[in-house]
Amino acid sequence: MESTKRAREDDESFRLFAVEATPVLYRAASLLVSDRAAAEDLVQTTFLRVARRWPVARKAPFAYAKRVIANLARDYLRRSARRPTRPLEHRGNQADCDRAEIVDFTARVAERLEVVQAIRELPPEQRAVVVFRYYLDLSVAETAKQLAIAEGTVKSASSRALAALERSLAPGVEPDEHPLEVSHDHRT
Amino acid sequence: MTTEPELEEHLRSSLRAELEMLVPSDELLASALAAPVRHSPGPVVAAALFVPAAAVATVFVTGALGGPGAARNGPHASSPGPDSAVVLGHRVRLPKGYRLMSSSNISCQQWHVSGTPFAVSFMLPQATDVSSDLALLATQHTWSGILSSKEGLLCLDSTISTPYSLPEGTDPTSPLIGSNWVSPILTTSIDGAFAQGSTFSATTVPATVRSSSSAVSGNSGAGVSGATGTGNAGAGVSGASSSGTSSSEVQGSFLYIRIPVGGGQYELGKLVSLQLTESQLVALATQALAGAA
Repeated sequence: MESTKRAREDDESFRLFAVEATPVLYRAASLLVSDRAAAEDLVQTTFLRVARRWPVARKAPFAYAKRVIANLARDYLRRSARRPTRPLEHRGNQADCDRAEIVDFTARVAERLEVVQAIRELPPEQRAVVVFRYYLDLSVAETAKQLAIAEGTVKSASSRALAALERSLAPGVEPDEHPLEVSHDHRT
Repeated sequence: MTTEPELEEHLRSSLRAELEMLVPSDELLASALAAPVRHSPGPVVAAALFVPAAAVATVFVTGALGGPGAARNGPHASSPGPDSAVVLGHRVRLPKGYRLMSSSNISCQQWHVSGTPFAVSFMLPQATDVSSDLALLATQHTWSGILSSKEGLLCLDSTISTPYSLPEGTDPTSPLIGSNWVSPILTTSIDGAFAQGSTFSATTVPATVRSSSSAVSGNSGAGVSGATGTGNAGAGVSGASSSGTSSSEVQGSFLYIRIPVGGGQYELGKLVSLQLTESQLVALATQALAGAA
């Protein structure tokens, strides 16, 4: 009887967590990977792993899920690092790019999402750092741990990403004409 | 010159705002809900990890239905979602533990209860098909996606008709008041009501609800409370059962009401919900129409 009650509590708490976390993890995944199927795979795999470890994960499910999706994304990004990435400088001529390159799932939406689009054009490592630091709100140390890179690398990747994003998102300025204006007067 | 902290803050806020537009599919949410959960082997520590108000966090409080907090607060925020929804044209408070979800998160709007006519009518004294009656009238339709801390996801369909007049010479007494519903809704203008639990084919409900519902019935061994309806179910609606559902069925409830609006005219109202009980539907209707009494 007690075990049945416990099982029901586990199921209910997991279901609530899944409902709450799915949009968050999906959005993070959609920034990290290049197509809808891959993003959904990341999220599905994350939930499977969290569910499998629910007696432990339920104490801090979001933190656990972030670690899982970070690991999955890291593996994915390593694999995808071999593939060419469209550099930010191409953004100014995006209309001329092959439309087929604009991937399916966020294509309709993300074309209107400047920041999202700009992030997705960052190199994989910078992209991952940006997502973990500024969307999943991981600290520099946590991001470094999850990505298995040095904290200094996280900081430098953050700075480079921020500079690139600022350059990319500046209205009416061609990337090549925009000087690097990020002031490094503060570090996390 | 922009400082790095300013850039970081701008990036965070822009990301949150933009990402609100990216909504996971029902199928993805369903697959997440369907993940097999390993259960705790021993006593549960901190069992109340998810308090209903906090559990339904801001991720669903977005868009037209939500407050302004979601995009800014981010994934860690814990402010509750709206605890009210529009039912029968009026905003009502949802049962305790329920929160309204953003319209963009589940596909209740695609849910149509078709092929489920009732052999009752408030419109005419002789038994006809209420669904057909409603179909004859212009209606205001509202659907809501609702999240419950216990039942998970569910849909609530609310329809209110435009005023209509009974045919000349028709007895205005509602043929159903007091016959199929034992609790007259005294505080409202409702003069006839009929409620019945029912089951819906799993293939006709949204995937998210289907998954959530099957998880509930599968784990607890019993679905929501059974029906109190009478034997009017011969026209396509199976009689309700308190013995739980099979994997191909999702439990729900109907409520039909008649509302006198003056001048010999009436409105027909219909509430249909997955997983809510008849008494919960009546409570919602009572609340919605209390001000109209």
